[in-house]
Parts: sequence; structure tokens; C-alpha cells
Amino acid sequence: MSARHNAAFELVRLEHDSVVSGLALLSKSKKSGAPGNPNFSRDRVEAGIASAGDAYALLLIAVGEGFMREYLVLAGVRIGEEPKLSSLIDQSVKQLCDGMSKQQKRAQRNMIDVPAVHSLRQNRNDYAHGHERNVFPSIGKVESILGKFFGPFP
Amino acid sequence: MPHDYIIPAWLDQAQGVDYTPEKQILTNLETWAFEKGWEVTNGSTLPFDLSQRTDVMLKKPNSDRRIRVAILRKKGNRGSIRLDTSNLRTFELVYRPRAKKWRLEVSAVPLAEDMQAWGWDRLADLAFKP
Repeated sequence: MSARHNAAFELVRLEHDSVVSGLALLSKSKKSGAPGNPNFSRDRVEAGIASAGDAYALLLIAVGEGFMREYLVLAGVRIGEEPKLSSLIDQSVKQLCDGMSKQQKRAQRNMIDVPAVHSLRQNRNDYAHGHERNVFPSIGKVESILGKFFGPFP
Repeated sequence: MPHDYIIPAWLDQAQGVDYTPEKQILTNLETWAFEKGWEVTNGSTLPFDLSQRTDVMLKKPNSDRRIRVAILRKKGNRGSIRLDTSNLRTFELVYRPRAKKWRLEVSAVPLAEDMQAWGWDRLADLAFKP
């Protein structure tokens, strides 16, 4: 596992966990009504926690995107000004596996679970484009998928 | 008495993606819920933001206990389902296509390799344990 990447992802997850703990306390404190906010309700706090989950999932994916961009630039790969996340993922994997045998490449791709990262990208795109319904994996799961992916990266 | 199972229509509208494992585990979960006296709905009575993230809602009558079930969209054959409880705990079911079993996880940490064998009673106990 790459400690550098994991530390960055963990920082985001810890912030998420703190925000959720704070909101959870709020939701337990009163059944309805809150000083200065007549529209307060526990359901809205629960919805807020779900929205916080989405926001931090997007942030984790953005942090991962930044790492891919940095890796490719340092490796001297031309990526253009606004590369798509899909090509960043594929180019990063291609660069990582450069010089490996076919078998090694397959093993590496399996180890870092490339489809799971593409699946997160799909989640992000669906969310950003306002599709009617989109659900992210839990923050812990998103962190785990990205941590696994970046494990062998420098 | 026959029950009305809630199977989200979008599962059959996804082109080229087979959601059969999701439908099977949902049916299994709902059967358990009916047997234990939980109400099973599509969550449409929830506030908008929550109903958008809910495919099936299980609610224990005369109690605050509620479980929101959301099936994650997938491209291949590796499905995931989120279970969010009213006491703000999240569990995930992850499908293992080779074993044809659902693994139960919390924050990516496996709790059980075969959810159906492990049992919904144990999950409910764990979810609402103080």
C-alpha cells in the first residue's frame, strides 16, 4: 500500500466521519424543531448525512484524479489540459505496467482492481450529470477502492 | 398470505446488465422482513433526498427502526447493495460472482462471506445494537 496516497484518502475520510458524527448527534438531540430553524427534522439531518457522503465520495475521487495527473506528468506522459478521468485511469495503469510481461500485467490489473475504479468514475459522472438516481458506495469502501488502486504507485 | 415484493423497475430496464442476483437477494431479504413483521415499501414516503437513494424500505411498525436498501448501478457482474439504517449505520452487500454469494461488509471490512447463510436476524441485531 502506498502510505502517501493512503494518508491523503484517510484525511478526507476522517473529516467525513467527523461531520457525520456531528450531524448524528444533532439528529439524536431533538425529534423536531431546533432553535432558529422551524424546518428542522431528523429526516433532513439523515438526508444531510447522505449528501455529505456523496460530497466526500466526490472529493476522494477528485483527490485520486489529482494523483493520477501528477503521476503521469512526472512520468513524462502527455495528457493534455483537461484529460478525461477514464483516460487518466487507463493511461496510469498502462504506464504502471510498462515493461511487464502479459501475465504480470494481468496480475497487476487484478490486484489494483481497475474495474472498481472505473465504476466509481461512472458513479461520479452519473451524479455530476444529474441522473435521476445515483448511489455511491460508502466512504470507507471508496477509500478502500482508491487505496488498493494506488498501492503500487510511487 | 401472499406479499407484494418490491423489486425496483429500473433493474429490468438496464440494457445489457443482469440484475438477477440483486433481485434474488432482495426477495430473500423481503421474505425475511415479511416473516418478522416489518413493513416493506419503496420508500416513497421518505423526504425527497432520501427516497432518491432508496429502492426498498423496511420499517418495523411502532418503532423508529428503519432500513433503507439501495442497489448500486453496475457495469459488469459485480453488484453492490447499500443498507442504511435509521440509527445511521451503513452495511454493504458485495456480490461474488464466482461463488454466487453476497458478502457482508462494513467500510470494506468483511463481516460474513455468505449473507444468506449468516442470516438477516443477525444483521438486524447488529445494526440496532445500542
